Amino acid sequence: MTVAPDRREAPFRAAQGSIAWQVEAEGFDPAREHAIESMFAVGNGYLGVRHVLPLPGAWGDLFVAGVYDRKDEGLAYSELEFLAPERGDSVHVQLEPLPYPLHASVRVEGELLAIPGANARAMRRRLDLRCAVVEVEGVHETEGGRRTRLSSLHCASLADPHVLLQQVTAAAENHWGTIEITSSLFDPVEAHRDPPVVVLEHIRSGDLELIRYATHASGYEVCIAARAFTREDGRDAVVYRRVLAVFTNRDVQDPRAAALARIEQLAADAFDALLGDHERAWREFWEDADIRVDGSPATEQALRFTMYHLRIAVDRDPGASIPGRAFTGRAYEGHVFWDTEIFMLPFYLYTAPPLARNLLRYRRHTLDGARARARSLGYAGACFAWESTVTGEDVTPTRIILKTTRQEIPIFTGTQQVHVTADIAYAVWRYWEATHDEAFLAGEGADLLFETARFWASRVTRDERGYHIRQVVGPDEYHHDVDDNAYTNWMARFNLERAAWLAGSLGSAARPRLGADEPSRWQEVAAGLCCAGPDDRGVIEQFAGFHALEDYRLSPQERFKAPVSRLFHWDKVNRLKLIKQPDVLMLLMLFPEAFPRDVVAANYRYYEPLTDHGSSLSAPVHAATAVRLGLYEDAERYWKQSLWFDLSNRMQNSDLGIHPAAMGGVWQALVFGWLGVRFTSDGPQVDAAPAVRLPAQWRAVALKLAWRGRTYPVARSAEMPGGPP
Amino acid sequence: MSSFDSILLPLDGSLQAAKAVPSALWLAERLHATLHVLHAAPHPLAPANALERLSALAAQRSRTVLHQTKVDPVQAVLEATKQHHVKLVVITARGESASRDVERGRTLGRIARALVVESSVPVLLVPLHDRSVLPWRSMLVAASGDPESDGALAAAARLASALDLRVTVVHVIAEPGSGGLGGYADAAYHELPWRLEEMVKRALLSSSPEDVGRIEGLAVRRGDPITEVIAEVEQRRSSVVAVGWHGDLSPEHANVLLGLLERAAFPLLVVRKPPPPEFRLKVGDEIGPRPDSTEGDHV
Repeated sequence: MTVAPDRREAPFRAAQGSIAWQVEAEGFDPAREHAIESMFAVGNGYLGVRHVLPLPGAWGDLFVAGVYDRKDEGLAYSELEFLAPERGDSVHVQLEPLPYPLHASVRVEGELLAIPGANARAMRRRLDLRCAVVEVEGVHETEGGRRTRLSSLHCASLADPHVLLQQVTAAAENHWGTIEITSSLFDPVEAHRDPPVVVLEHIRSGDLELIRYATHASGYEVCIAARAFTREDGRDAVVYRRVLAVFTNRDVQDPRAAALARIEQLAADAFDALLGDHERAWREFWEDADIRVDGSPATEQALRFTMYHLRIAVDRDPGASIPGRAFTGRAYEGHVFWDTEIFMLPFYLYTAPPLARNLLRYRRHTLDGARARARSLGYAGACFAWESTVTGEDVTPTRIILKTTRQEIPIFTGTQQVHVTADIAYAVWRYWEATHDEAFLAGEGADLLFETARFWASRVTRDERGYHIRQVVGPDEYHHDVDDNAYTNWMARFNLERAAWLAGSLGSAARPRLGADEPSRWQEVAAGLCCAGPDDRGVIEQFAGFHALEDYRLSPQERFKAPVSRLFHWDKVNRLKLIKQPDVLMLLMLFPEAFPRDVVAANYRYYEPLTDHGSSLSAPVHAATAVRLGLYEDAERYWKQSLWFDLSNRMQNSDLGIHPAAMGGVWQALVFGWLGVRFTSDGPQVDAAPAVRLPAQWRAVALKLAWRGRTYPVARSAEMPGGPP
Repeated sequence: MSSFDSILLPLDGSLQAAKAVPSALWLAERLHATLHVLHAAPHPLAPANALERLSALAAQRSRTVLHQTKVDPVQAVLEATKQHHVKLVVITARGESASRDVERGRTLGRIARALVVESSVPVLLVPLHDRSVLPWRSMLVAASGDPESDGALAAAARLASALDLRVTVVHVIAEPGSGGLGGYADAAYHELPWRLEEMVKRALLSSSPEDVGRIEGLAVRRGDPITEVIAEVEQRRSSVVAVGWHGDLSPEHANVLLGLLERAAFPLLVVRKPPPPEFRLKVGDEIGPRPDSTEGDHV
């Protein structure tokens, strides 16, 4: 009797389906461990904890959103070698790495069991993406053959962002030795870590433990209270459960009281209920956000990994946004970049719009800081800082110092990378388009649009040709002091036009917030702003004079590297036709209706060979653009490089945190690239043009997108016109 | 008791081979190790005076075990490392052949060569011109930046901790054409001193705090690796140098090790590159293809 193919394959597909919901690591490799710590981090937008094994060299950090402190000069900036010492008097510079709170020890007859270690066997770790739980298991075998099976799980509750859950189980396989499990919120060996937070209090009382930290200069206090429950499971196993509550004086007046209150009332069986709430919250998220890629479980897995990290990076606190490496690592000191609005926000906008709104409210929250910055620079309105934290003040370093050689590298982005101001306005507009949240647009949105337009109107200079924006850095950070960067000018023009339109739309309601004739002034500047268009080859010049730069032959070996030597030779690179990441191509991606296909093709052909992809943001944009042009070999190569960027530790800098902006770019490359989604009054429409095809292994793609208060299923199969050749 | 609880000392009866005895004895005492003295020859020596005949009378102590076998010496040594769970082998670079002044051009004798190439156990090579002084005070680890260095560093730190020695890590930036210790695939972006610090941290990630605490300093030199390592030894008066080892003794791959053996007056602790860690991240290709497909998803 033959078995029908469907029935034969069903168990296999079921197994692959479950595999695509997890990332599993077997064994231990010191060279990859720090990257694993980042990848397996847990969080919920309020806090994040790296996943660490009990090793002396582990980088176990807990981050709490919004808890920043003065810069510690010994802490690295973006790479381990890079220091960025001075930041003036600001006390909100670095996201404070707090001590790891999930220490746990298992002893058998007093002997500490170490996994990993010489006696550890069959260690595996699993990041369960569906439930957002990290599980570790292994066997400890002594020289005499005594085997103890160890397993643990932990998570950061998505249902209650102040709660961390931890469970450790030890089961004797072939012995009757006494098993003891203990835990600690604080490891004294770590006490000399840098930067050491101030420990205000650390107490233990029965099954309760509490620790309070204070930052050095910014006045934040963090309190963690933990309650442990131990029970024996049969004769030979011990189950140890712990509930931790984390509060700060950003959330409540008395974080100590709040943390204690949260755990003191817990019953012994509360753990299961809390875990259930957490899993339920994640089910609800996946209900709207999941992406099915039939035929490619590896792609499904990588996409879910991407969305997992995007989800744990954001919460509903309008006082904080997403740090450059989310809450998974110390790189970039926890600063907020344009990454949030341009690369990550679309994911939230079309899967969980309230989270997108919250990210924009953060910018409204820091508007006063942006206003102050504009004034300090001699401009009107609001000039958002290239790198910001909780106040909106500029925390971008002005130089990098190499740790070992003390060589200095100047940083121009802080003073010149002004396009972030227009990026925020762009995001406000796209949010409104996708949600029709009129209340937001008329209130906080209008504040942002008007103040940013005001800034651009004051930032421009005028000559006989029109208005110019001079001495800037565009998305391509290899070139500074450039004039009329195409991306900056186009985005500024969009900003001015939308602000003028909104002023007109709001009518008298807007008048109290506007100066006389401001909207008409904005329209005038927008109309006269020099925005480079395609030349006779179809190429848009990246900035004035780019075409006249010295040619540079870029070798394959130089691509996809952290651009250390480029920074060393910043002056020379400034004169070369060599770019770090998409600049003009960014523009074409953000305004797909504005540029016909032949213009996109001309610019891709021109700029792609000049790009060394020194930024993780580069590959996803190239993937999306290449798909649109039918350059499938390029598209698949860039797609794979970006999809597995952190999972493969592509640029060897995932140790200091994952790359959430690149992840947002991946999601956009799928939705707007491979699926060619465009939004109409009828909702999202998939591009079914015959020329567009899916990667070979994909039989179908299905997801949901939110649009104006409704959720729409979106699907495309390989059998549609334009399927595989 | 340290993890180096079993030491092997192969002796062929030559005076040259016996130059390893003092180091082996000192290590065995300091590490509270069992010292396995191995003699492989067609005619076993009378046990009563075997150690004397092997010029190793000083090795007569309660934790010394004498093994005699007629098996080929190379085979005997390799089997002994497994049979006796040996953690460290102490041997001169050359034995009888050096004593008989034959094969002058050879830096490594047959047995030492076999150990270095085939055994995974660290080997302490006492060079022909050894002028080292006991007790050891400090150790120098030559770090090439290659993965082999990781194993050497971790083993060296462990041994240094057991012996209460200070450890310095040195890297030599080889001048072009000097036959450097290793190249860098990311040469365009290689920031060496930082890499050295991070390489040390990575190698010692799962080492104990006591072992990590042995690392006192990191040194970077520029020039011919052999000359610079020797100079660093002289400057710091290091007692022993540890080198990571990939196992290939061909001249183009082993010129530094062989050069050190020829010129050095100090012992070399040669640590074989450990096997790749057993690690598997199940993403991409690891998830596997469909049963009827010819290729899976490729990362």
